[in-house]
Amino acid sequence: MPVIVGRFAAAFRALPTRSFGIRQFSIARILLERKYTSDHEWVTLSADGKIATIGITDFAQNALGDVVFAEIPSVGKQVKQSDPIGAVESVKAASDIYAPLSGTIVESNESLKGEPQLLNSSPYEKGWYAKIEISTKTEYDALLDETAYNAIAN
Amino acid sequence: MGRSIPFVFLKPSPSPYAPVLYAQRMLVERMPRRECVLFLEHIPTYTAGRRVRGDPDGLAERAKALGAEYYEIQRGGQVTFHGPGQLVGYPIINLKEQGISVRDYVRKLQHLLIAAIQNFDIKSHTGACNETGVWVEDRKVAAIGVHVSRYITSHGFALNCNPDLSWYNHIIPCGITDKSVTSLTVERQRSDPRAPPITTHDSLPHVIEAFSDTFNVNLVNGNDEHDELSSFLEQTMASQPK
Repeated sequence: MPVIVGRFAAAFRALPTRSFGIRQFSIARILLERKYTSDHEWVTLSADGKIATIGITDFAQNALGDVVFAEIPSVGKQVKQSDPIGAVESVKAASDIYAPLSGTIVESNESLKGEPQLLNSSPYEKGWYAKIEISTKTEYDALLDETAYNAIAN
Repeated sequence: MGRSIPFVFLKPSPSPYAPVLYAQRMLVERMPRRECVLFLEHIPTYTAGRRVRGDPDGLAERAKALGAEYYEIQRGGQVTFHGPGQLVGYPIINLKEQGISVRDYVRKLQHLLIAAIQNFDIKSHTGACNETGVWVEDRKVAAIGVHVSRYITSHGFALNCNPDLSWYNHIIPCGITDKSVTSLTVERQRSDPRAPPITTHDSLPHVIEAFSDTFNVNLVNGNDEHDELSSFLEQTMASQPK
């Protein structure tokens, strides 16, 4: 078994062995670590560093309550980091969602239209919010890691 | 009691919608400090929350024919009505400073309205079936619709004191088809038809007290013309871009 070191280590160890058979040292299958913003959003980056998947954290969905409506951004929309790009509505409160990174919206989670509650039940997987195509990794690198985020999400 | 927050009751009353909407935006932008609460009545206005776009029911046209305005805005919730006789409250507060979640904020708004209404010996409650708002039995007496932008709240609540309820006949309020809308005056006059109406000015002191208790703050009257909030509002609404 190769020794996995570096920033991929934690993410790599977290991968279930079963779905990969022998753990393949294949860059294409490694997801970079999940990062966070102080607006309680998460970001994961594709291995080629080009597409960021974003969503709201478990802390955020709990604070909101039952989500009844999600306003998702249009595909093709250019966004700058911190731009409001949509909203999530619960208990008659519409809370803005912000772009954690600059880039272009390449996909929005259409499932949220019919099933907005996915944001509550599966905030990191089925309840993903949008995908942004980014040009550099600089903004991503500056986001909060899990430890730093957990310190603010109490 | 915690910190002091100024409130104003906007005059002259009733207020048009657009300048106050603009003022709220400016108040949100000057945060995270300088919380405040606006109390007011609006001229007859129908508003639609974020889910409703493109005026699917032709409400803008019908509103105009009725002498009302129509706005699609950023708050949660669906379609509702604002008008004279309805006490509207727009708390601009910092949820992060207060340590309150969005969900808890809405709960507190409901709670304070129920407490205020109790002063008139009217028993109200939060909605059944996850319907946000305040109800007397199955009749809705107060609506809630909030916008949260980086922990700063805007929009808020609307308590029917003695509005002309026929304005509601032209919409499906909050998208709810099988329940009716009521007012404090209608509820009071159920038990005593000769009782005087309950006006927004009758309700305001109770709402102020309930707000202070619920949020553990000291609401102070900023209607003094030398007060910073009043001046800011006056300048902002006068300079609203057309």
